[in-house]
Amino acid sequence: MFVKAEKLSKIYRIGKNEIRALNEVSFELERGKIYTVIGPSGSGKTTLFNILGGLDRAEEGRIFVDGKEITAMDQKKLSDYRRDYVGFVFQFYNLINGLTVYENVLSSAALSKNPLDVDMVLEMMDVYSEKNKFPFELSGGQQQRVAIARAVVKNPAMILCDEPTGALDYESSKLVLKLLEDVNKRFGTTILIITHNLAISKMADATLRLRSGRLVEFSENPQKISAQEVSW
Amino acid sequence: MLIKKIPLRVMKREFLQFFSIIMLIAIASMTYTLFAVSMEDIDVNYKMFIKDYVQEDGYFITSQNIDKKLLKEKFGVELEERLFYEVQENGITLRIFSISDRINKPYIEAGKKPQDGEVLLDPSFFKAHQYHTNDSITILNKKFTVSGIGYLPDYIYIIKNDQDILPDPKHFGVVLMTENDMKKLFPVLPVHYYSYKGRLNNIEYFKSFINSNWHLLKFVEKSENPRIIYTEMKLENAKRMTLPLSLFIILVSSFILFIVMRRIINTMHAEIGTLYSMGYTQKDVFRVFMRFPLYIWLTGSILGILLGYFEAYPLSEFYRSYFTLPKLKNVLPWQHIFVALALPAVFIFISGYLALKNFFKLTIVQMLHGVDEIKFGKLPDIKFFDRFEFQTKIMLKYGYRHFARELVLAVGIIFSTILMMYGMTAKDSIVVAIERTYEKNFKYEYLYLLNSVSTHPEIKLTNQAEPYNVKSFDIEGRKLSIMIYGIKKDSQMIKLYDNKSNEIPISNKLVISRPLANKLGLKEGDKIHIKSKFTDKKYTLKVYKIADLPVGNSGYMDLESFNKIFGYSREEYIGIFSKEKLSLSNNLIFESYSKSELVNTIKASAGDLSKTIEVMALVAAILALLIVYVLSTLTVNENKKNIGILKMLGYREGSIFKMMLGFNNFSFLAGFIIGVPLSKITMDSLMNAATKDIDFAMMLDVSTKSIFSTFAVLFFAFVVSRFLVRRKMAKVMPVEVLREQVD
Repeated sequence: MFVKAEKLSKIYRIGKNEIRALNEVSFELERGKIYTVIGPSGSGKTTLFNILGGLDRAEEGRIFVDGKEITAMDQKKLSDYRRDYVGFVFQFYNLINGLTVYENVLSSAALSKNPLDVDMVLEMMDVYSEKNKFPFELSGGQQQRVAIARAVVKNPAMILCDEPTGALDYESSKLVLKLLEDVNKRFGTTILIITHNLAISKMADATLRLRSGRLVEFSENPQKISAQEVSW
Repeated sequence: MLIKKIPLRVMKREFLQFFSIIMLIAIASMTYTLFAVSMEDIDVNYKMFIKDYVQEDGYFITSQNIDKKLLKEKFGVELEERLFYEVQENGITLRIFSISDRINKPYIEAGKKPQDGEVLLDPSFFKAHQYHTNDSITILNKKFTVSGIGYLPDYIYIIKNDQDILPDPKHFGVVLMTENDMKKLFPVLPVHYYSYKGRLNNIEYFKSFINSNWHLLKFVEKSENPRIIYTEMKLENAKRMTLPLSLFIILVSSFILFIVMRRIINTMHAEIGTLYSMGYTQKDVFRVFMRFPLYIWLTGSILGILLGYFEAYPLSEFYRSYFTLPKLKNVLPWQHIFVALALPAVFIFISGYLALKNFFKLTIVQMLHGVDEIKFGKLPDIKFFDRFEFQTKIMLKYGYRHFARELVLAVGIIFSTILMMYGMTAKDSIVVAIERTYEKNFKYEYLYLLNSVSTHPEIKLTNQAEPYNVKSFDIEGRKLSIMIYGIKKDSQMIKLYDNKSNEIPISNKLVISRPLANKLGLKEGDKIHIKSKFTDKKYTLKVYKIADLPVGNSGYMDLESFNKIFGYSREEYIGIFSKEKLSLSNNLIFESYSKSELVNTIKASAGDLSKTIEVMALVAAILALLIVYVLSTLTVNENKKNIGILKMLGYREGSIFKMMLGFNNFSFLAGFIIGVPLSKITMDSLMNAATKDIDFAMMLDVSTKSIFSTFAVLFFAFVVSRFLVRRKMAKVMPVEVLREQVD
């Protein structure tokens, strides 16, 4: 099993109030598959994304990725974990405005032990012609494709996407989903997409449904469709 | 590491903002380098000059020829007589000295040591009258060839009279000629002038010994000689100003940098969080962001050092000609250049580090999420503001929210006000000193100091002239002296007034000048303990009144009482105040000058200060402009979203400007209002510190005109910077703000 989560819990304390963002969540993910995480606002999707990505720590429970327990890692090891295993795609792209498209992707490739060719990835994402532009010179769809290129170029085992189509129009969203699917197929990358959009889960191998911090459903999708076919 | 490119790119994007901070640092480094390098140059050359050319430890004038051998044996001091005579022709006074061999040796800069028929001129006089080597100069109808320029170690600050404030090379010069020529030109020299070198264990005994044997007319120790101590005082003053001035600018810039860094980090929070999520470590990110202070420091301080270093040369030359000091050695003070480089580094890196450190306390999730929302919860919710109409309420809330920023703005304005007022007041005070002292208080036109105290039966005084007596005393417990004048009871030549402009009658009681009273902390009715400069005799006098004279360590009483107290006979006197020029024999006169000449001298010299004031005004205005611009731009940049939304809602630009930046007006006004009295306090303490142990005192007056001029210049700078910021605000388009949020 590529990812194994055991009774993950995360509690936020605001004043005297406690909010249990994740409550004893357990699941297993296989390598090379696409997963979606769905649920209403406040269900714990982003908390799960953060913990799985090594950006935040769980209060209780354990996570193993490729046999390594990330919940037991110190900051330095977590840094190495993010560097070697994970690529991130955010809703608002989070590109570095001071770097060009090419440099943004290169800044990620430079950290990897086994990076892909930057030009090839830019071609794949159809933003090669924009490689010398700065992020603010691109449309949102183009920026998100650069963000995916930046995640992919490290050749990570897993890409975590937090609402990757949340800020995009329909056409751009479809293109982004198609590219994620291509990456999954071509490089065998495990992809986990957090989304509000139920339609997207149709292209996933399995879907995790969260509600009030609890995993209420883990459903496999035997009738998975291609990203091209997804519509809403 | 590729991400190290980020800071330069951001700086390029926010060019004006970073350029302003760089300029602030450059001004700070330039100020330090400029003054430190030129001061060091002057200081080293000054010390070398007075050592190598044997500056005197004092001089004295007697009416009879002394026995040098006897004095040397008895007191162990080196003595050298200099022949001395003063010539007044065509409104120009030439003080002529013979060339010394052992004490106060001249340094000859251009030309050669004069032979018979040749003279050396002091550099300021030489320059002011555009002389060249081998030109001829006529003195008492005899032609001399100018053999070169001569610097004297005891005439560094070339003023004619001890009480003069500024040199006037157009009307006064020092001439050096051979003893032979002196004797030919002036067969009868009225007095004998001696310089001495060596430590006197009992100076009082030395003076009284000379006085009892050869009749001492004047005795001036080096520490009392304004031609020497003014130089040291002014150099010390400039040195004292250098560090605080630079430090202040560095501190303000560092604080602004701190605010700017925080803003940059806040706007880049998600990018930094992303760098972490990609696997960059805190060390990597820290190294990248510390490049902001690194670039600002390097560019600003190197630019400042270069500007300061190249400007230091003309400044040194200016000081050199102002003090008439020769250049004996080229000085390159590496230690000061290092300080100019290192000083801003310390503050800039600390402020950069602090700005980053706080941010790095956040978790990666908080970074990705953004700190704006976190900060938003801390926004002031003050009920007090709710009583105002909406726009004023928002303006007050912005002011309150950015209180530290407003404080920096106010402090910047205070500093600029002090800087400019300092220059204006220096000029005003001199003008006031002339008007009040020489026009209101001193009614005579000519002043004569005679060679001896006597009843002078050979002089017939008309009703246009009045006799006076004067004696110099040391003030016990202080390294200060006082000149006490005995004048006629109903004197028409000297008029003294109190601070309410009521005339003070001249009586048997002592009236002292206000600067002296301030320096000694004396009030009316207090006692002053004094000791004769020539004998050991001590006196205690009660201060009856304090006269509102702006300059001088002086005291006044009626002539009869003066003579009685200090042991002279009733009718004796040493000088004459006169409304008309007197035809007195040269043998009788020790010193003389005309009031109009003196007044013109000072007024002309005060005019020269205008250039200094212009520079100070420019620096003050630039500082104010940069500080206001950077801080206001920050607010605009931070509030682009709000500005866009307010524009979208239909608010006019003027209203938005008022809401976001209206509070700046209060900070500017507060800064100026606090700055004016503070500048008076600062200047007084600076003047007191500089003149603590020397015989110079002057009242510094802040005039309404200088307050208005300072306000006008600073307000102009304020308006310009606001105009630039408003232009920036006009460029914020609502549509762009929306586009930035959602595609």
